[in-house]
Amino acid sequence: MKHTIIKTLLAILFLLPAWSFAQDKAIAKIFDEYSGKSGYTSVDISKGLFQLFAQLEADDPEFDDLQKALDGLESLRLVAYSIEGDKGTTEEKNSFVSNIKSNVPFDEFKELMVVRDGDDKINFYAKSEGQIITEMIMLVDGADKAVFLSLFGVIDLKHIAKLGSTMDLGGMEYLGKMKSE
Amino acid sequence: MKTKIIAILIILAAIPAMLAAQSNPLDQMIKKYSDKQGFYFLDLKTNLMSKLVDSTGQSNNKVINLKMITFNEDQNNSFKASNLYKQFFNGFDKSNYKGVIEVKSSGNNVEMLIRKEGDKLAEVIIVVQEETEITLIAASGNFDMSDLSKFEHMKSCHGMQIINQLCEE
Repeated sequence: MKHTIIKTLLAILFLLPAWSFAQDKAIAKIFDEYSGKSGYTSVDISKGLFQLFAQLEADDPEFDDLQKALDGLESLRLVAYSIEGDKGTTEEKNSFVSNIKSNVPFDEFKELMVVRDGDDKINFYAKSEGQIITEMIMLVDGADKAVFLSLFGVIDLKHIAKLGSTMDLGGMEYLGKMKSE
Repeated sequence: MKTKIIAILIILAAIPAMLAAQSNPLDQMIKKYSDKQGFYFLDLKTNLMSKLVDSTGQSNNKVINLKMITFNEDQNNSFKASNLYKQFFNGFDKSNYKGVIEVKSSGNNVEMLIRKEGDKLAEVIIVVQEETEITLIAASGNFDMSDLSKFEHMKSCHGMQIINQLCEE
């Protein structure tokens, strides 16, 4: 009996990295497919930059919040598509959203919240290990834009909304809609 | 006496390393294109930098060697901005650097690479690629992001806005 439990635990421990790898692969595939594609904006930030910001000193409580949000983050990746004037089409936007929906394993995430803001529907999903959120996804499906954001690392929901208002990158503003419960 | 000789040998051995630390990845390109039309250069000497970076007037011993090249195809169509990008990275060992941010939008790319020595930054490379223009920025020395943010004095200089944006963000 004891032997079977140990074997099962070992099997789970070995499988865990494979599961997260498969998940990361699905998200990486989305970024690789749309990064640099006409009409799309992509942002890829790695831990190195977050560590640099963590070293900065400032007597600004807002900056403290930002540092807390960045502390523990491993990566931030964002892909956004917008329709502006004659640039972009609704078909392309819908195809982008449906590609995300069919390839990202959303069933492995817990839906945190859904925000409706005018024509925009914003979904937040998270994956946690115990009390710690290790991965977060934001999907924005609007009338004239779609945004896919993926965060990896130790994510502090209390401060993560701060990232949206501080980072002047297209699509990040939706992160500000995230309210900590 | 023997100790003195050993000390002198150590100093002599360290000189090339000290000199290398002051070199900048853009040195070769600046030499190559210094007299060509369409190129804009920024080459900050360390003694000038120490005065510029410290707004408080206090002495600042940190040395940052900052160089920048901007090339615009509209001013000289005998060169291609994309070729300069390739040329820069051909003579450059990317494995020593860590890409920390990459932004791609409508044919414009912004890339930032860093090389660290201990806790400090030894080099920061920023590449801004637009359709017909390329800006290459390289800062070398021994510094951190706070030191880099002190370049705000120069935000009106062409191409320097990107450093301010990164520091502000």
